Amino acid sequence: MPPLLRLENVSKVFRYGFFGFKFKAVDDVKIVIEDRPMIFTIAGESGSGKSTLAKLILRIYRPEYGKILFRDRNIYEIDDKEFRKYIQPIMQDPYASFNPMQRPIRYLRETLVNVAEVNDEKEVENLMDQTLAYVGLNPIEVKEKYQHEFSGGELQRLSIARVLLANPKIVIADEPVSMLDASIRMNIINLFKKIKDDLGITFIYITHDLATAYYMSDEIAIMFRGTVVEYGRSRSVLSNPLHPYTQALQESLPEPDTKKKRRWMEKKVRLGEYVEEEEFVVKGCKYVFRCPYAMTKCKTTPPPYINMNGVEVRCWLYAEGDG
Amino acid sequence: MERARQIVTLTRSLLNFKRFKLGLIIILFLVALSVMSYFSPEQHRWWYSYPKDRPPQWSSLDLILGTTTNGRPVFWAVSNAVTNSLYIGLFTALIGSHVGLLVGLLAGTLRGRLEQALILLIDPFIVMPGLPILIIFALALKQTMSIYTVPIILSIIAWAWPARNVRSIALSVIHRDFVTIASYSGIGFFNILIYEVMPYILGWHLTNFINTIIWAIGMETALAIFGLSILSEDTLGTMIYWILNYGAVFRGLWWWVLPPVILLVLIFVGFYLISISVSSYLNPRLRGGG
Amino acid sequence: MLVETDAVLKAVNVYGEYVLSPEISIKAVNDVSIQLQRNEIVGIAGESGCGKSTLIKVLYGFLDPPLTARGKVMLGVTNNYINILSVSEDYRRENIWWKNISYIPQNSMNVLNPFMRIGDHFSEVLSKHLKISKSEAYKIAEEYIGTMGLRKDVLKAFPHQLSGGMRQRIVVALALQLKPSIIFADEPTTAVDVILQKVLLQFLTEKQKELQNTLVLVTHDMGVHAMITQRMIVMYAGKIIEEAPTENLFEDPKHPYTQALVRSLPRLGDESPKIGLGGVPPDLKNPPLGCKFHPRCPYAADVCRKEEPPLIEYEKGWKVRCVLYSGR
Repeated sequence: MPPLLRLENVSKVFRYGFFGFKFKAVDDVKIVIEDRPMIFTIAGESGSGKSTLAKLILRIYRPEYGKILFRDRNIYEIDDKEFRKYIQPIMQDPYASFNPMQRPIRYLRETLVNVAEVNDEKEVENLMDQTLAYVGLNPIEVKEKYQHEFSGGELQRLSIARVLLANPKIVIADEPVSMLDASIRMNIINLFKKIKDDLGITFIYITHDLATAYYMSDEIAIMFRGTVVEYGRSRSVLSNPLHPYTQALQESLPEPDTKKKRRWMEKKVRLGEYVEEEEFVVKGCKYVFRCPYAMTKCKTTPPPYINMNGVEVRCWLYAEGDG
Repeated sequence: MERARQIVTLTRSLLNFKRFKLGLIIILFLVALSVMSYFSPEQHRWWYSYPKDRPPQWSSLDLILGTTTNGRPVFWAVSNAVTNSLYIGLFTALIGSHVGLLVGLLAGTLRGRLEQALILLIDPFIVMPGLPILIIFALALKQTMSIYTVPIILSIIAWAWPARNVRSIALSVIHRDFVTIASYSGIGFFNILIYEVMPYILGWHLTNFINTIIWAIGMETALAIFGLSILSEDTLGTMIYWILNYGAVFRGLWWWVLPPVILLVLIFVGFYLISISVSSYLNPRLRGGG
Repeated sequence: MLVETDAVLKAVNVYGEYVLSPEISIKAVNDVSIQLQRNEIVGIAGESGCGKSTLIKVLYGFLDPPLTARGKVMLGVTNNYINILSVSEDYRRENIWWKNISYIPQNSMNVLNPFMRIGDHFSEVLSKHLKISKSEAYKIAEEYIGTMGLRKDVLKAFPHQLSGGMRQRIVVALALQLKPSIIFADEPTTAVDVILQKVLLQFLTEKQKELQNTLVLVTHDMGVHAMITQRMIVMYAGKIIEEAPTENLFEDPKHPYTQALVRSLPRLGDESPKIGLGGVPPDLKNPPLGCKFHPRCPYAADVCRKEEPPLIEYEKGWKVRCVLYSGR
């Protein structure tokens, strides 16, 4: 069975500034997501390119290099109507996801009619009611309200309901809980897990929060300045991080567990005095300015993907064959 | 039904603003004056139908504002002028601001070659100075100028700036998340234009429409002073032309000079008041929605 | 004024309200009393709408309209106590801000003037408060910058020429330069990545140890509280609902809200299922009667809907606002 989604050597170039400073927001990314229900996390800090990658998959941006394949078909060869049945988005800001001038229910209805192609009026109402109940919302209340009458958590549930009505194969969730209060995040995260188990939908979960990533994901890809530095089964990656960046991330993560306080305080972080833009244009490994293990070839040559027991790492430390 | 209700609540809350009320009173007064022109006696259109240069007399309605050097009653002339000026303003706004709206919407939402083509079309018209262009057109088309063609000529300049503005509003809206969601809900391009993007533009468009009325009347007046408007018709501008032509100011014919000037000022002030009260009403609403 | 020894700040019955119109006012801080001791790190936790940011603004005395405050905020200055809320803003600007209390806001760009070089930021504050010339102040700044682990040429740069992380470190350095006795940091690391967050927090705690002053850290990130703070104050809908040493709070939270919050947090290596809290925070324009948490509380009883429970001392150093504990 061909992989559900494959990104091959995908790069996206942006330019900004008066003299057109060019940089690759996404640089030669390779990701393979197999065709079985899973939660695939793309984790990284701001500037890592994870949101750009999401937009590339959603066809909001077009890659300058590389290919994105859905079941071995180039996504640019699939027409809009079909594409929407396969891939659907959930955005970060619940309030920005719906037009303040309209009622959110409109988008659910439209999705049912246009994407799921349900024409019978009764069936449309039925499906909407069922799905709204499934995500924990009251259908009668929802149908009357405007966007500003909902809370952030409720709006995210509405986004999820809309996505379910389209019945896609992949849901791309771009930081879906980062704008919600910590105490209600779990409700949404658990809902994702439930949907994956009940309906077999694959989630691509984009986040900077490693703790929620660990909790819910099956596989994880860590991004830094546009490149994927490590990816594989999340249990492996997070319990035994190979790439120095992943290691640094894990060590820095503050955890709500006071027993870990001493260890956290003791490990000092080394910080270079680079400017962010410089890191983007490095010819070799982007992490070279901060890496405690940096070698000379790290600056000049980008490391290849090396498979270490099922986890792919992009780091010269593991390239034993080259010496 | 919902829309009608919204319009009623809109007008009601607008009436709470003193500025709107004042503007409305002025405009209603002007409209009343213009309506009266339909009851004017036939002969007022002809020159020398009355003795010329007569100061105001209370003897009859015709002579309440005196007569011009052309021997026409100022009152009826001015009433007719208001009608024609308002007409020109209104039709220029109807044509110009809506063409601008359409082009701006398309320029803001399309991508690629069409978008570039539209920008290439809009920008020259913005950069070029309006009055000289209109003078050239007016000179060239002097024969065909009439009440109906002047709005079209004015619209040649009037559409460009709204197009630019509408484009920038549309651009900012089209990049927002909810448009992506709308698109992924299968909502078609034109549907998105009308129900997702347009609500954000309508507020501006309304203010622009009113401002175009003012602009058009002002432009026509400017052209008229050069003698480049439809001199055979009464507009506030052409009246000023005749005033200047006959040196009425120097000759002290105040009853002929003051009315068109005062009425012009009233038109500008009246529409301006309505324009700003509408835009200040709409502004916080646009941000909050609902 | 009864103030315990070593208390640098005592706030008594403080209110912070946003007055939007004669009819609508939001009580963001609703009758809060706290004490800050010398040489401690305190965390103020809570989620959107709890009032923690407003509380800090009131304690600091930064009352930009429509924010109004009442109550007493007694600050210990040499041998005396002055009420921050009763002196004029000019007095605060001259004598209290930067010198006795410093405030680090969320976004570094709120503090740094994009038209001023970094060095000038330092020398301006130093020269004004120490009453020395700008050039002398600049020399002091040069030495000081070295102790912060930053290069001297940073002083010549403009804010936009530096990375976000550098700017945030400079803001911290600015806040500390006059060695204030209290530092309020309002979400200082939210806009910054995880690794830099650790650098900043380690930096702040090191300096706190050195200067032996009081660090008040306001953040919704419970992980940060667990790693840094010694004791915590949890706020909900404008009131303090629990106050305890950090370790106790995480180990055995008492208030149902704190329980739900702590239990919903995922941790690395922990795959046990977590459950979130239901409902939504109350609308502060129209808050519910009785206990503000009762609509979402799994233990809500009749009395909770009618009366607001008082903040009682469960044991030494541990306060809870809940009927489950006031019946002891």
